[in-house]
Amino acid sequence: METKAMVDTLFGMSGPFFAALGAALAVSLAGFGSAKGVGIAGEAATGVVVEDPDKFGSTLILTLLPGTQGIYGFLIGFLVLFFTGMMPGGTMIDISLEMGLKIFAACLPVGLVGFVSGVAQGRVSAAGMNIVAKRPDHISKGMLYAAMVETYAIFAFLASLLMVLGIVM
Amino acid sequence: MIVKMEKLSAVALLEDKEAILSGLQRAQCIQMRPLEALESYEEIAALTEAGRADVYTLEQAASRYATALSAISAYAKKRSMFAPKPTVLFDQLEDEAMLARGEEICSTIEEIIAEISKLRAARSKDAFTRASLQPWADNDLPLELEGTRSVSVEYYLLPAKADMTQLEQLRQEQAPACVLKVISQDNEQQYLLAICHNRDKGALWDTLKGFGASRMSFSGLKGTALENIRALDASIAKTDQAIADCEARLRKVGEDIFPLQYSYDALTVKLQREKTGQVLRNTQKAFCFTGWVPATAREQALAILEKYHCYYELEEPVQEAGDEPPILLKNSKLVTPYEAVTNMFSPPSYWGFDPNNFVAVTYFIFFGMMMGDAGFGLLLFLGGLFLTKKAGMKGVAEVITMGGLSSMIWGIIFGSFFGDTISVVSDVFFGHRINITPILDPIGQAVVVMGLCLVLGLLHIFLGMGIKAYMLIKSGQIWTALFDVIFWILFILGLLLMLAGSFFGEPLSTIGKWMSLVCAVVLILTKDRESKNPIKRILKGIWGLYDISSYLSDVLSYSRILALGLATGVIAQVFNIIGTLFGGGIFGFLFFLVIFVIGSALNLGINTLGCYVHAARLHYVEFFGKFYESGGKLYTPLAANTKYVKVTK
Repeated sequence: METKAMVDTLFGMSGPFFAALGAALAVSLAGFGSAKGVGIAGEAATGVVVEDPDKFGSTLILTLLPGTQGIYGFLIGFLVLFFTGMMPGGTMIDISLEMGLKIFAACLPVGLVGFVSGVAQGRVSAAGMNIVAKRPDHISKGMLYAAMVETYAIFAFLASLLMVLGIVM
Repeated sequence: MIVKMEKLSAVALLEDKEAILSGLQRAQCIQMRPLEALESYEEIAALTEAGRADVYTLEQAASRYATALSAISAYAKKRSMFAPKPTVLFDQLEDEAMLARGEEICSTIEEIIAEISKLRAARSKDAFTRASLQPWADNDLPLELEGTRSVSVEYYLLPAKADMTQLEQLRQEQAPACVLKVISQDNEQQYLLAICHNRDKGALWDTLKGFGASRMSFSGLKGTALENIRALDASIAKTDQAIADCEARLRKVGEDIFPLQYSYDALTVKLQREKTGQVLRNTQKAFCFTGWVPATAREQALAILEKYHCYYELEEPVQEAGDEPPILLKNSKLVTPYEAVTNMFSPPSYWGFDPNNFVAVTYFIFFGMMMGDAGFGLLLFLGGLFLTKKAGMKGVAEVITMGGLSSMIWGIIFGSFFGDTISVVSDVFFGHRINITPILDPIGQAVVVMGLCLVLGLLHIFLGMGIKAYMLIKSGQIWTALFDVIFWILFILGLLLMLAGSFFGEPLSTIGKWMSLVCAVVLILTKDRESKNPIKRILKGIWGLYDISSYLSDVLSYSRILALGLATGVIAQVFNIIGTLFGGGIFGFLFFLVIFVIGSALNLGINTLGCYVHAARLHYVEFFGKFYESGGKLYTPLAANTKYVKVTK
């Protein structure tokens, strides 16, 4: 009997743990991706601005494009914390192991895709700085290439969002 | 609509050249092209010589003015970013008084800039000398003192790592009649004063050389190092003052640089006109040219030519002859802004189809759905209106304005005003929660909205295919239209009916099944119509059916509309949750306000950018991919293209 009680307690604790782990991964993996991506793009932008400080505005847009992954990840993490009541001032709901694992799984798309696409989008944006430097009229084409990468982050965000909402509502 | 172009070729007298070109430039009604493009070029070339463009002096002057303008820009009064450019009539571009004033300003600026650079050079020379004297400041001997009859005073630089005690030992052995003193030292050097008897001078130098020393001389300097440093400081301060005076003069000049800007633009306009000289050909008395004239400007162009003695003819372009006329689009006022979206991809080919009427409608819908919020829509609408009305911006600014309008409509459908701000504010600060029941809830009914997105996407793709079929039929390729486009549409519709049948039952499934089956067979049989070999034909046909996957991925791509629409609302909601962390009350409200403003600005920025590019992408990849013939070159008439003033007729 004692073993069963222990297992029950353990399972009872694991649910919230996995939900929190999911939220943490969504925020941090996507955040990694954006941090790296914005970093890569920012380095390239600096090179352009050294030559022509007036191009700050256009380089800023390209630099910020890989930043959305981090926001998507943060949103998912935030929603998980909010709906499970793990935020300060919230009342924590009862999270079974099954539910915890589901939330964990729901957080994976935005985290993983956010990580990879953030970096990739940063590289495309950095390459787009060439357009800003040499053909500034065509900057929107550079933005489009970067936005192509973002497509997959958007889909991952959509998948995570629908899953999280489906699980907690 | 793509405006029809005509080829205008004309011969006129050289004495009227300036007047004719000026008139054409003023009316902006012709895009010059090289005479080589004409069929009769050989004959013309035999009779004429190539025109020259005497642009050297003009370009020199223009580049002087440009340099002066960029030099003064840091000192000039800044024009508001949104203020429209001042307007000047085309005929007033040659105003002598203004041009003289511009020239005067330019030379004043050049003069001051030259003076500043002279002063800066002097200053940096002084600063350099001062830096090299600084380590010797503690030496109280006058620098010009070289010694007495039997004693010399010398200065040395010694590497910082040289060991002084070791050096001193060696010196006592080699050159005893000397005194060494370290005046100062820093990370790299030790600064050494040596007073030594002439007898030991050579021995001392040999010793010091062994430690890597080098001689230091103060040729031309009088007085102690400190006196010199003080004098240099005074001189630097004086130069700084002189530079500041020059800058003040620049600022004074910068108060009104309009004449210079005007002159620069007047020069550019003249330069643009002169440059057409390169595509003209001359005889001694006459010249000839050719160019594209849009049908809309035809009468204008002819009216100008009629005023002078000249011969001209107009021809229609011929596709088969390889004519590629430039593109001038003429659309209704609501559609024109969307030309900016289409042209970013590529203007349509002259022989193709102008999709802007359709782009206007679908871009409007998709942009609004992706934003999906009445509050942000209102901000975009007002902001865009401000930019277009106040700053006279066109194209993208107008697209954003209309997008704002569309967002307001979709925001009402989705029940979103800055996310759930109305509910949150009423609940937390007024104690009575006002719930808005949306017509369509993108979160609660996500699957329905997703379905709506996909259906809209499918219609968008069908629209593209429909245009393709229309163009094929128009050019007489009826069978291609039928087998490559229409049967595909029917095939996809059949599959959809089957899908619908699995939800709604008969008779949809049966109709869908047979419809798609028949279409599939037709598609398989007609894919490779040229081939005589039946096996190859069928195999290729079956392989061709695989294209269905590309249609599938195209349609699924439209689910991004839902995702971007949700993102706007969810970001806003999250900021509202953060904003209400401190509950109601006055401080809670102030905190909420700060978070709300910051969050909304961020949200608006990200999502406007996202909606703009992703709505564009849906058009470029999914829609244009079905029919669009790109590759047109925009019509760039001989016109007055200016930087600072707006030229009007």
